[in-house]
Amino acid sequence: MTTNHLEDINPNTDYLNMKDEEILRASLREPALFQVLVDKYQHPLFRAAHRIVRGQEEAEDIVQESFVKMYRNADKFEKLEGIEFKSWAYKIVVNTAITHYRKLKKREYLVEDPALFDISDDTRAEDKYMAADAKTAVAGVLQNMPEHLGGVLKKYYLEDKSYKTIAAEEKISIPTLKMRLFRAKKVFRKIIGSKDKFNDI
Amino acid sequence: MEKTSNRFRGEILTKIYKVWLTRKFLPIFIAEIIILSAVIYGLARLVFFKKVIENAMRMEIVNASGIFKYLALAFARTPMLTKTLIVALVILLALLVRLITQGILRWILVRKNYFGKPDSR
Repeated sequence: MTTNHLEDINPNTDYLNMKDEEILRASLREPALFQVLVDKYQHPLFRAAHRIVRGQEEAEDIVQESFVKMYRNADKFEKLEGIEFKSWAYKIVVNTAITHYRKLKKREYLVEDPALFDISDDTRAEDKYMAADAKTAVAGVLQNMPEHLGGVLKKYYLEDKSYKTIAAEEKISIPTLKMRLFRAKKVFRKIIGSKDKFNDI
Repeated sequence: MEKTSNRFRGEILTKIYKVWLTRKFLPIFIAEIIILSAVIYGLARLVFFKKVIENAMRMEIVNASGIFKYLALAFARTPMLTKTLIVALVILLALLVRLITQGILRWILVRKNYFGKPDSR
């Protein structure tokens, strides 16, 4: 499966055995092939988005937008080394969901009844806290994590830095970084699970 | 649930097709149209098409083979530059038809869920 992809595809079998990365590459010439990736990942990605925004329609919008982003940036993905499509897709969905969430919170904050702002300082402070964006909440969780784990997670997901850049900054190899990220995500989930931080977002 | 999933997938793929259309199809289509227009403009300056048709009528051509013979003869006797432009015109038209057909076929593949899960077709 190289450049002349369409001629090589047997419509009944071959494309089902292709790797995700190959399907993405081939779909640049044959957009209908992207269906394979949509079928495979729409539900897991929807669940990932839903965990952040907590709304069916919002999550659907995020997944749609994310798939379009994936297709638009498929060329860039090819240049990234050692990254699986699955983790790249997940990263796009999480970033898009956080951006959506922040916009949504900002909008809610702006359209609130002005009378709400005439109340006491304590209540106002509470309102402001409630309107804090996802990034702040996530940053709060990151603070509770060991520094070396929280640091890489922040750089990768919030600052959107590449593996290469983070590895250089942390002075570690890329495989070590991947392992650290894996452990960091595990700890992150554990903290969220125990404190139910997302209910406060 | 299945209906929702199909609608959801359909919306995503329609967007994907639009991205493909604007990034892969339209630039080539516009380039071909521009080149085709330039060739037609050049040809129109060299060949007086009305005269060619009038001559054909004057020869009292009544059947299709006569028309083809006349056109072949006219082509053979025309200068080299005109011949080149005519060949270029035919090739460009063929490429344009091919491109449009590919665009339509890809739209059909997207709509028909051609590469989707076999059980969801």
